[in-house]
Amino acid sequence: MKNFLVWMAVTVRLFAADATIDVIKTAAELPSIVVEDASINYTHLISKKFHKILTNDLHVLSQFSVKDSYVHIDFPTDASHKTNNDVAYVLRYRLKQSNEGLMLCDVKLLDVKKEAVLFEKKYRITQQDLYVFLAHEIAVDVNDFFKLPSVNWIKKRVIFSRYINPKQSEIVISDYSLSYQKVIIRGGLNIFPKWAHANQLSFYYTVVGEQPTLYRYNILSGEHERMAVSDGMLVCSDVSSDYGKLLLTMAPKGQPDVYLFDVITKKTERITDYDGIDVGGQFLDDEKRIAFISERLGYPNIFAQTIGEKSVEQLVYYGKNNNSCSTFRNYVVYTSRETNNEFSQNAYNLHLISTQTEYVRHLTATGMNQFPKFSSDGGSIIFIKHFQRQSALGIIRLKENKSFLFPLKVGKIQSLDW
Amino acid sequence: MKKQYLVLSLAAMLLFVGCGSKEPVVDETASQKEVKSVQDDTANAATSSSDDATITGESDAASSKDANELHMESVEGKVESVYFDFDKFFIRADMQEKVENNAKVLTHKDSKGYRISIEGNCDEWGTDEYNYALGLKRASSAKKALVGQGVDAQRITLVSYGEANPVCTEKSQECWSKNRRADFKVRP
Repeated sequence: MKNFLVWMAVTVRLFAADATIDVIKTAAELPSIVVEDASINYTHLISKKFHKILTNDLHVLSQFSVKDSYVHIDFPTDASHKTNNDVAYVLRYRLKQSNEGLMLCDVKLLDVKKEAVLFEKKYRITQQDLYVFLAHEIAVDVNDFFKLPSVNWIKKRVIFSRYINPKQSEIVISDYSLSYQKVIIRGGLNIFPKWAHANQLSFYYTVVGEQPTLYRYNILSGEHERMAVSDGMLVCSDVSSDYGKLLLTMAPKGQPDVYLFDVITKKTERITDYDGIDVGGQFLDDEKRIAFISERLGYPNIFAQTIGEKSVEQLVYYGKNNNSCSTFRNYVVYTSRETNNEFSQNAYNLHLISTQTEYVRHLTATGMNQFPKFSSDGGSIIFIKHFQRQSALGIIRLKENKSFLFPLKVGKIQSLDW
Repeated sequence: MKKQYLVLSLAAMLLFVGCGSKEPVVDETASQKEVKSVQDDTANAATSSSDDATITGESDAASSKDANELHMESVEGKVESVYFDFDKFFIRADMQEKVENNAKVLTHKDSKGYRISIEGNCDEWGTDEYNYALGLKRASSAKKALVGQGVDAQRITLVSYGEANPVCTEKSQECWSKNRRADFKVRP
């Protein structure tokens, strides 16, 4: 019996640490929470949008049973609205405009039963269109107040490229839910944006002309720095954790392969060498290895190779067309085309594997799911879903085994980075 | 409390570094409560980038065309796109005739002085990088086929547009098959 209990404890610990294992929650009941609007001199349109974004954020935290209903109430009272007496917590906000035109926001978290204020904060933003980020900031503060696992990634910015016309695309910066969007690069075909640093103040992207060129763009100064040029194609697929090395897909002689690029010296080192398609290098396992896509078996699949060595290891044995991947430490999330039927309802699905185990976790079951990217802490995955003529941004919380979809109206996304 | 305030302000700064003022705005009327400020630099960045981005865009062509340009257009009008099967980059048997015809046009004495840019394209099925690589391999196959027919390899450059250059945008098999192609552009 004792041995069994020890085994159980070890097993639970191992499984809890492995994101490729499906988490099935049983009896845990989540505390309920509702958002109440107490805005005064703000348009109803914005205050209601703010309510929706904040409510969605609380859903994404995955730690509450969130009541979606909307009510307007006075800010000062410490009692909940009469329709919200059934919830445990109320998160009340009051948007108001300062004399200088700033957007101010007062927030308080109430314990409904005790009619007590748990915390109260004030915020201000200089530009009204940033209210989306303000909502995310408040959600993170609520999360931190309850000492829940960090969700700072929801304050991170997403960068993506979208097609607008043939040979025309633009690069956009947005919040994680793509509610806020600002075009930052226009003109020509600008593709594969990739954050250059965790501070999100600069990014790499490719301009496709007669010779594809990789630039680094500094958001603060507006300066472009030419990093590399290659015939055929040139993509920055991944950035090392110290930001000093890049994995590029280049094709100097019309042959796409994965290269290691030194940001300082601008020297390249060829990693893969195959007379077919090798693309999409991603750092793996303490950045000593890379995962990449290759069609060396006659169809696209995920492989791994140690940097500086020639031997190649097949990472995925499931699916016959696995044509993109993203990594976080020893985890790989990849897209798998399930069928050659282009009208199928489950054309592309997402799967998660670890280089330490042989499990495959199926993350999606329907639709066309693409562009998976890990959050900065590896606990969540962002992706784009197309299903039945609708598009959505998806968030999968791996440990919580929950996923969320936000309807999208952004055009056709070319590539995104988080 | 002060420490927490500083950390949070720093986080906000990193995300929304202000273009006008980099200092966090503090509401002094609420000294007992935490105050945070978020500002944005992207407005500034977007403004500057829209100017900078013009370095990347295609320049507006001069409206008047000289005789050489007209001749190049004429040559380009005689070469045909080569089409590919779904997810493949080899030249199909039914495309060989087009390749031979293209090679004849491009090796003719009147067009031998021009460079050729082969543009590889894909349908909307596929994902980001792989699609660009597939487009490139299609362009590369077309190049090899032309070189095999006597076109000088030094005249040819390759570029992939992935799925960025569709000639048809309907959601049908017929339409997608039109997008799986290599185009031949004549350059001075």
